[in-house]
Amino acid sequence: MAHLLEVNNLRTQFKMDGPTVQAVDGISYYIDEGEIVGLVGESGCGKSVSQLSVLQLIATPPGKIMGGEVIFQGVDLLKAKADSEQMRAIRGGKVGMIFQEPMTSLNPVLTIGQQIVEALILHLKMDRTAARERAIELIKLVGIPDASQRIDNYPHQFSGGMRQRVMIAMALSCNPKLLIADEPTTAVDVTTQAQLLEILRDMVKRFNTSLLIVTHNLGVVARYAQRIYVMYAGRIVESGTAKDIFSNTRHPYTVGLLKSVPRLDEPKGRKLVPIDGLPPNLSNMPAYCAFWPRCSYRIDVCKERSWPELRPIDGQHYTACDCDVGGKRGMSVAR
Amino acid sequence: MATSLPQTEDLLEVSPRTNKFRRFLRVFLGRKVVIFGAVVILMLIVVAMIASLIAPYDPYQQNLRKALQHPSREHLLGTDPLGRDELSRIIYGTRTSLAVGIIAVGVAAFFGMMLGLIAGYFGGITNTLIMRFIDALMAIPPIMLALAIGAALGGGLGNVMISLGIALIPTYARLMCGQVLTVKQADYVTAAEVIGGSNLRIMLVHIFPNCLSPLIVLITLNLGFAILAEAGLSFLGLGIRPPGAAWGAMVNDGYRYLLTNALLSFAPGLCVMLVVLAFNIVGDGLRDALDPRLRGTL
Amino acid sequence: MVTFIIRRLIQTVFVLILVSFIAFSLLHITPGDPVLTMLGTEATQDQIDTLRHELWLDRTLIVQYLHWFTNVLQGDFGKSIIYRESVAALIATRLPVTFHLGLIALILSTLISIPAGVISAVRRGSLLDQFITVSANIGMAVPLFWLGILGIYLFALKLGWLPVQGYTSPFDNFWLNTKQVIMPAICLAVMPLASLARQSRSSMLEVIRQDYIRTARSKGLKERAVITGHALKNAIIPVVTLLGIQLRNLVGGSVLVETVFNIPGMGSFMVRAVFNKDFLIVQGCIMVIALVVALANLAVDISYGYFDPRIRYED
Repeated sequence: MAHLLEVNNLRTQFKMDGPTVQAVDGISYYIDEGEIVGLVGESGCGKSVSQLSVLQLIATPPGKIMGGEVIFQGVDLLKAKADSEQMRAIRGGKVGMIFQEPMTSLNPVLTIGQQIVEALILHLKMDRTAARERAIELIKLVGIPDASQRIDNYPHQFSGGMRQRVMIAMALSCNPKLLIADEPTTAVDVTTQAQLLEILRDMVKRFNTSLLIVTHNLGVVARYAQRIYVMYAGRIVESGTAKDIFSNTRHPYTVGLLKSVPRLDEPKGRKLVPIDGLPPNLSNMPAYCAFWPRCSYRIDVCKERSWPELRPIDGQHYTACDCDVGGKRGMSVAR
Repeated sequence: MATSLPQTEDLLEVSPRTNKFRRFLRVFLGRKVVIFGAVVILMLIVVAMIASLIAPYDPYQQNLRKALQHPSREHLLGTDPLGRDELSRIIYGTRTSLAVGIIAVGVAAFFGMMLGLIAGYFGGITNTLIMRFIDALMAIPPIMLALAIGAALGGGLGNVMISLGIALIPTYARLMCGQVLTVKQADYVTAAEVIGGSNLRIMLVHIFPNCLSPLIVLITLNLGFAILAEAGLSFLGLGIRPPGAAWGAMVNDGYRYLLTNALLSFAPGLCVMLVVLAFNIVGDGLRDALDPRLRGTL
Repeated sequence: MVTFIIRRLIQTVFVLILVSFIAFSLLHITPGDPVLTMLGTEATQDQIDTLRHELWLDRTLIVQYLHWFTNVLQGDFGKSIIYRESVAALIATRLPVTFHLGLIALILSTLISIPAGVISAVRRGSLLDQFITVSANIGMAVPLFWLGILGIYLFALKLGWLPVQGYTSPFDNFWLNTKQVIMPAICLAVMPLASLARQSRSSMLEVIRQDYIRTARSKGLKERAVITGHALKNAIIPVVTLLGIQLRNLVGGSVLVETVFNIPGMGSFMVRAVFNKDFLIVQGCIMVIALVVALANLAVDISYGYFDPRIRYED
């Protein structure tokens, strides 16, 4: 069965005034219809850039998509130019995107109604009245009260959480097959986070839209995602179902991530263990595994070969580490 | 605007002061146009200083028999209606332009900054009174204000400098006031107040140095504008009295003879344009080098 | 929004009162006796005394000011020494001319500068952008009067397409008036045009980097719709602010342009009055011009609310 979205070996780089930064260094992943997938990694690992590359929203100087395939519904999107009719039909129409910063992601001088209606007229070819009706419906759906009044309000008249709901409404307005949520809850408080995620899950179920959540927050993916990809320094280092990742962690980085997150069911005295060191300099990457300096499982051999490819563990579980990172979390040490 | 985050270079071992200066030079001299502008300004200053050495003739000496001659080997730019050598007059004109520019901007900057500093620091009624007065000055177009005040004081060169200075005060006052208001919030000012520094000391030692960057840019840009305004005023007949040489006045002198001796009006006007252009370009370059965040405002 | 307007109105009134102080003081900062300055050295003692009494110069300063100011409020700026007519009447004939010129210059400058700045920003680094940027820089450095003279030389004297000087009412001869007004209007427009173009360019560049532009693109909008529908609406806000400031230069420039082209407007009127030491005219001109500029700025500030809804809904 063909995937809804299949990304193969996507590579994106940025050429600054001096060094070239390999932001996305050959990632491959897929999303099926109706799935919720998580893309996890720390700031700067390339997760946002990868999604912007899928939609070709990268600013082309200084960025450039160097290669790979983005096969959406059987068609390789990268073959089309960024400003082509084809890509524009995909953006907003077939693939919706939500961004991290609700405070700055909405145009301050247009009403939210205008911003939602715009997409409806463009992709669904609705006339103004029908579009307005639908916009009110959508606003109601994401849980904003007084929808028929508030549709004529400006973004600055909403709180951060509300604005994010508006973004969700906007992204879902044209019934996209895939919704990409780039750090949707990072900029809002915890209660709002929960609300937003519930809305997202609700929408996904209702419209059978696939959802890709890009986040650095493991708690979010644990609860909502069916499958998870873990990214580090521009590559995917581990992938699998949520169960695989959480109960059978197989990559030192993922182990580190899990160890550094507090859990309620742990003994109170357990120390939070941060991952030593800093993220690597993406403009100056070594040929060997980029996680090596921070890895507590490392052996000398790791430094002598190139970064391991993803190897299967079982079923859909893959890891990019050749060391034996044991089954139970944080307990085995490589031999 | 004035409080900035530490730069990574600052955390290195290199002394921050030399590093900042090197970065400044690199950005400032990075564009060829800016270098060109700086060279023009330097040339202007040099010519003004050694005018008496390089001018081929006495710019004030009339010789009616040689009036309105076309450019020749003797008189490279020809002679004006009173027989004076045009080139020499242009060379001496640099002095007038530069003098008026510097003094007018000096007056404006000094009083403007003082007013802005007081208004911003003390706030309240002082602020309202001073800023409304500034608004009043701004309600009158600068050339007209300079014209009116300059004429009221008697039209001489000194008076033009002062009146132009008065007309330019508002920009400095506003900038300073805005800067003070921003900087005033900073913690180190509160710290100084807590220690018990006097108002004057706080203003001069703490607030003022942090407002310098935009001020320097403004002064440079204003110099250009002041020279432009001076040319306009001398064109109208205000400012330096004949036989003094001022570019604007020279354009006016040549106006009547446009059909026959167009160069008499063109040359001095071109000089004005080049000089003002140079100041504008250098001002822009300074702004980019000192603080690119000012891009939208100055 | 309404409170904003009322507050600005009160401010404007206050400012105009301060302007009247400045205008009033002109008479008194002259070194020497203002009456003598106005009448010249030939005046008889009688004339001096009469004028001094007429101008209330024999009273205390405050009384003088109040008298002058109350007259001004009633539209009476006194009588010109030279023309022997009411200053207000003289101004009234000249104001429309300056206004006409200024309006054309304003329209020209905004119509050209904003698209130029936007195109320059959107096609950053291209030849067109460089051309526009360089032109704008030159435009800010060009002396108005010199440009006028260049224009006269080229288009009037050499090519004969346009008249050298003068102004006839558009109601008398529209075509002639248009030909007369083209060059002066262009000269007036150059500096504001250059300044507005630069500002349009830089605010456009700033806006294009914003997150909401990325959102707009992610909705699949055509680039043109993104630029005009989203970016421009935001970029224009600082340009409107600048427009308010440039209005002063527009009015101020009339002093030079009207002199060069011999146009009977407020600018040339004021210049002549200055040289004739006709202080009453100068005072009147300053008051009227300050009023016009202040009102124009008020209009700009109010329009701000239309462009920026965050101001509109300050509550």
